[in-house]
This record gives sequence, C-alpha cells and structure tokens, in this order.
Amino acid sequence: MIRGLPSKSAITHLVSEAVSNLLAHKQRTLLALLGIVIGTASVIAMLSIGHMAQLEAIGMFRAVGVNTLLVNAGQTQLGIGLDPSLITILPERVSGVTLTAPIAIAQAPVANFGPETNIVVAGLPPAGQSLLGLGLGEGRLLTSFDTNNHVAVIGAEVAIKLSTPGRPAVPGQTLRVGKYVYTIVGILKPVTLSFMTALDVNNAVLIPLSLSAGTTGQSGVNAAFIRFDPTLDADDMSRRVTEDLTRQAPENSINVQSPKQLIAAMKKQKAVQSQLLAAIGGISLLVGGIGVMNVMLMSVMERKREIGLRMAIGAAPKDIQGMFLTEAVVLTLTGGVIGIALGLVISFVAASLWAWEFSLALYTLPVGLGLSAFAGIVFGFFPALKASHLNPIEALRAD
Amino acid sequence: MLSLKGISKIYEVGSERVSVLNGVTLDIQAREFCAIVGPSGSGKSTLMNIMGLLDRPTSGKVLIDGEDMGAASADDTAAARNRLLGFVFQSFELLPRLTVWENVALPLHYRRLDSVTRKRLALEMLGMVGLSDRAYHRPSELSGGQRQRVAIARALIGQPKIILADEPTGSLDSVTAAQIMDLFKTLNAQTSVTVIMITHDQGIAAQCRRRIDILDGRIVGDLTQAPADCAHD
Repeated sequence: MIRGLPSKSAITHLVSEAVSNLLAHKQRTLLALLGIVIGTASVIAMLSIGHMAQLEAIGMFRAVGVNTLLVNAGQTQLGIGLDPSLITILPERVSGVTLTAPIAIAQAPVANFGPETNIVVAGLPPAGQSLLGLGLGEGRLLTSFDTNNHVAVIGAEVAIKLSTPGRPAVPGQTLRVGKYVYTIVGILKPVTLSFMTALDVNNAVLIPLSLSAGTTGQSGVNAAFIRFDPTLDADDMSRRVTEDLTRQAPENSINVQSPKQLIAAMKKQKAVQSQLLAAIGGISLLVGGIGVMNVMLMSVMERKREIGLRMAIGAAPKDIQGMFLTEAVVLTLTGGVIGIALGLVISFVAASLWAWEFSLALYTLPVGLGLSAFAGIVFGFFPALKASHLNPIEALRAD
Repeated sequence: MLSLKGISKIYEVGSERVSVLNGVTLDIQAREFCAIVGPSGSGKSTLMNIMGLLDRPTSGKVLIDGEDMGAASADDTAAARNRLLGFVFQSFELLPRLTVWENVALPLHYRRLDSVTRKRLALEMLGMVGLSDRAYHRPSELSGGQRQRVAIARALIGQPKIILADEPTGSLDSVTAAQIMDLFKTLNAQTSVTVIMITHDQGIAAQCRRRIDILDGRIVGDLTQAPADCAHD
C-alpha cells in the first residue's frame, strides 16, 4: 500500500498505484499471474536446458577431440562391410592420420540368464574406446590383451536393463551374447550425447573387434574413428580420407564426417528445436496474456467511477491509458520474475536429474523479462485503450 | 469568467431526438457564487457537464476565461479541467485506496508536480478545510461531511478559476450541509474562486447570491439576491 509515496518521479507513483490496485484483488491477481508464470517459466526452462545441452555437446566433442573423423561405411550388396585392414593402414596411406579404430556395429541377442533382448553389439579395438571418449564407471575397459578373450564392457543403460533380481549385471558376471558367453569387465559412465550417432553406447555392449564377426554373425566393419594431426584442417582431412577409402573400397558407400560438420548439423537441429520450444512458450504466454487482459478488463469495468473522476480532475486519455498499461506490465513483470525463478529451478532439477553440470544462460534473464513485459503491453493495450475512451459522464454515473 | 452562448444539446435516442438544452446563454463573472436550480430532468446536469468540459454542446460556444473550448481536443479539455476547474460531487468520489492527502493531491499528479510539492500543497489545503489531523486516514474512516471537505480541498488544490459543485450537500444531513455551505462561502470570499452550484434544494439556492432557474432546457429565471443565512433547520 502506498502511504507516503516512496519516490518523486511520476513513474514510481504510477507503479506504486498499480501495485496497490493489484494488491487490492489478491486472488484475481494471483490467478492472472499464474499463466504468465507458467509461460515465462517454460520459456526460461527450455532456453536454459537447451543451453546446457549445447554445453554438454561441446564438452563431449572436447572429450573426443575436434581432430577426429567419423567414417560411416555402408554395406555392400553382398552384406560385407569394410575390410578393417583398410582402416588400420590409413596412417601409412594418408599423411596426417595418427590413430584409427575400425568399429563393427551389429545387433545380437543378449541375455543375463533371463530372457534374450536384441542389443547393439559393437566390436572395436581398445583404441576405439578412447577415440569415442568413453568414461569408465566400474571395472576396466577393453585392452590389447583381450583380443581373443570373450570379455565385454557394457553401457550404463544396458547394465540396468540386463540386471535381474539376484543377478546384477556387474563386472565379473557373465552374459550370453549370441551363442557365446562373455564376462563383463567394465560398465561405462552414462553418455549424454554421442558424437557417433550410429552408436548409442549407453545401450551397447562393447566387445573386442576380432570376436565380433563370429559372435554377431554379421561380418565387416561399418564405421571407424580416425584421429589426425590437430594442426591439419578437418575438412581437408575428411576429403583425403574419403578419397582414399573410396578408391580402396569402391563397392562401399563411404561417408566421412568431422565434428565441425556434426556441430553444424546439430545447430541446425537445435534451431528447429528452439523454434518448437519458442512456439510452446509463446502459446503459454498467449494464454497467460489473455488471462491478464481479462483481469484488466474487469478492473476497468469496476473502476469506471474512478476513471470518470480522474478524467474530471484533469487526467488526459493518455494518462488513463498509461495507468492501466502500467498495471498490466507490473502484473506481467511480476509473473515474469517468478517465472524466471521457477524456470531456473526446473532447469536446475533437470540438470541434476540428467547429471549435467548446471549452467545459467544469462541471456535468458532479459529474454524472460522482455517477454513478460511485452505480454503486458500487448494484452494490457486493449483494456487500457478501452478505459481511456470511456465517456467521463457515463463513467462517473456507473455503479 | 464563464460564458455560454446559445448552448443546445440534443441526444439521439434510437430514432428520436431529445432536446435537453435549448439555446442557453449565460455569463458568470469571476468571484460569483451562484446556484443553478431546477427539477430533475430540467437539463441542469447536462448544463453542468458542458460547463465542466465533460460534454460537448450540439451547438453553441463555451468560453472559459476568454478561451473558446469548442475546438479543444480531449487532451486540451483535460488540461483545461485540471487548470481552470474544480469538481465537487454529491457522492464525494474519493478513491478509497488512497489516503486523504493523496486524494487531495491527485489533480496535481496530472500537472506533473513532484510528490514532495504535491504533499506539501495537499496538507496546506487540508488545513484550509480543517482536516489537518485526518491527512493519513482513508476516506472510509471519515464522516460524510469530512469526506466532502476532502473533496472540496481536492477541487481547490489546483487553484482553479471555477468550482463546479453538483448537489454537494445532497448526501449530507442538514447540519453538516450547512457547514459545507459555510465552507463554500468562506472559500469564495477568501480565494476569489467562482462557485457554481447545481441543486434542486431551494434552501441551498436561497443562500447563493445569484440564482439561475432552469426548466425544460431553458433559463427561466436569473436573479441576484441578498443571500439568506444558513438555515439550520
């Protein structure tokens, strides 16, 4: 309430009057706020979750290294993949290539004494694990001594999926992969975003490359990681590797991707996502704004006499308009501030749920405030205009 | 001070044209204290609204302090109301959420005065109407007579040329009404503000120096009289 105006400026006067008018109808004000709070909160949550997802992605690329290429080799008509030796000899054939890891991705029935499930089984040399930037949760990774050992490293979600009561899928336990029994030696940390979209390591069983064809019954390497000298250009490397592999294995369709390309593709996807999220936030704000307009129209109806009186003592139409517009903006800005706080809480909870590092995207704060103020101006405009067009005589006669 | 020249007001109700004022011509000088008297439906309220720049005549001219208000825009009439006129209503029209001094200071807000000056002048005005001790109360905490004093203080704070009072004692008991009339007379004498009072109360009209009778949209009587003393019942 305003007992003794706090400031000299007319704006403060307008704002404090708006606040006291809004406080006079607490319940209605709160209900009108709700829509704006939800709208702003969803926009803020979406923006900051998107922001954190991007940071995670960047972090993931950092783990993999930007001097890495991903090769996807389509199968031939005969169903034969790439010859792994074509990949392993790349350092000799293409200058600048320092490390390679052919990967054979296939599906195979996997069981832990329980029912069988079809799970992605990836055969890869030990170097492939570091090239994928995999983190170890428990146990150990595959090593060069495992070439002929039936051992497996399993993804975090596979570990949960395959665990049965009394028989958790932990290092030391055995699994049946195809017709073979493998010993689990390690469980991977959850990976949020994979550089290699073809292989979701959370849902994969990793085994030595040498055993993969026999185990899955599907021959051939269909992907590879290639690391190159970081001083060289990724696009140039990508072109040279493509040329060499196409020449060596013309029957396969070779597709080489660099992190740069993937980031560009992801940005494109992100843009689509952002548009979708913006649409959802926009709809919430629209609904909230209509609520605000409704409340403001009610307020104008109820305060006709006050409007008439103010006009009689010298308020110009623009003064009346300004008064109601201020009230609408104060209302939506309050909703916006609460919405921003709520949106940040939501994104914090989401971050801790997905084991992301919480990061505040500072640009979301002005965006949230701007959006809610904009909603106030847009949806407060019509009620304010209506108030300013009232006939003072009729307004003074209203009850 | 206030000149009405051939004022007519015609309302269109459906296809019917209702003539409320028919060529009213009237001159009111500075410092006058006059009553416009008529039964309900006589057109006196419409006349007051036109004098108060709240309504526009269908034809005729309104001049206040020599200014022709016919062509004034909504912003101009608002400014003129703020600068030249003060309104007092039958039902006080105080804003319940504001304190007494804030109500009194309200016209100055539309003059873009800062809050310190507004408050200072409002407290001065409250002193003039004898309500200094009620400055921080809400209107709901005051009696009817006190509320009308607040309204009078609000009407005077902008140092207007004319106070337009529409049945200012209509909601008050006779004792309080007499006190309010006394206040109007005192203010008229002290501040030289012109007072125009709309009433159907013959007792009130008798206390005014000039009495203008209106019937069916025409002035039917205009006489200057020796004002009767306050009739305390």
